[in-house]
Amino acid sequence: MFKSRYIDSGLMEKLTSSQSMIKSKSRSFKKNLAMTLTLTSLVDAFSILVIYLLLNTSNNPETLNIHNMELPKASQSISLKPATTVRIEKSKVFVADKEIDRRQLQKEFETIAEGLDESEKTKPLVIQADRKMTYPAINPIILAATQAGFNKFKFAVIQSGEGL
Amino acid sequence: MNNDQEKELNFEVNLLPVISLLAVLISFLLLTAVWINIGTMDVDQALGNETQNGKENPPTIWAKFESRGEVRIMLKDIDGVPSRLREVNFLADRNEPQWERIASYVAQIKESYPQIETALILPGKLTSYEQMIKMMDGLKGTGLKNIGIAPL
Repeated sequence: MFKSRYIDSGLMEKLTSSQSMIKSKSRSFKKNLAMTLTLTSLVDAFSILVIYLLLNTSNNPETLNIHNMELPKASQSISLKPATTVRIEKSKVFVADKEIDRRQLQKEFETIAEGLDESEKTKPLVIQADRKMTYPAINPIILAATQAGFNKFKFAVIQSGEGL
Repeated sequence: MNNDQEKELNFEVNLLPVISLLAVLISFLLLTAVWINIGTMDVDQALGNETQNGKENPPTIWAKFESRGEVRIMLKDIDGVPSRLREVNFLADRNEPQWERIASYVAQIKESYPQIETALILPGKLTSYEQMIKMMDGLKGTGLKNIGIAPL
């Protein structure tokens, strides 16, 4: 009776082969209460989401403290690599997250430069500042670091796909 | 016989553990994702030994920030450059340099004189960190490899 009115049981089994099925335990209502949830599309959506998240999230473990500043955007930037970081916040200067008096900057840089591997040709220094900060606030850091022996400056930016 | 075969062939893949696993994975990825990619613009700073060694200065583009967003592009140590191209001023647009015009001009220069590999940025007292980065970005975008910054 059921088969003739609704659907052939073989065909039903084929259709629901990739679907989760919640069945009634009672024999009399077994086929009437059969309820299907289309889970295949849900699995597909989840898989796409996982792949997207895996591909688009950064796997660079290096991060900077950018809580009190807004970095400028740049399209020609390269990913951040480990190096000594100098953060300029208004009138304060932080070298490796430690606040340093501006008059003591060169001495601090010299101490750091001495600790770096002598065999390496480049001595990099990451400089981070707010996008609106003017150059006279950054200039003393470049001068002090150059005199201490740092010869590669890495200006922190937010990577973007847009050009000028 | 037929019924037995049907029962054996009829199987279901249990998708619920797969969904649970994917849900956990998505939650983990969403929580641990770093959405802001921080990068760096690299500048090789000369330590002042090149001139002492008697080396010739390489062909260089100088980008000097004048007051109120005006930018002067100068071509240094390049042979055969017409005098009108040696210094070109780009007036500001609402105190902001005209980035597109500057970038297209530098790109034309780079195309005409492919030997230029170096650029020097001379920021002014009012030049912001963002303007400095934009200039570096624009110069690097034209194919210039060595970018330097002159101290005040």
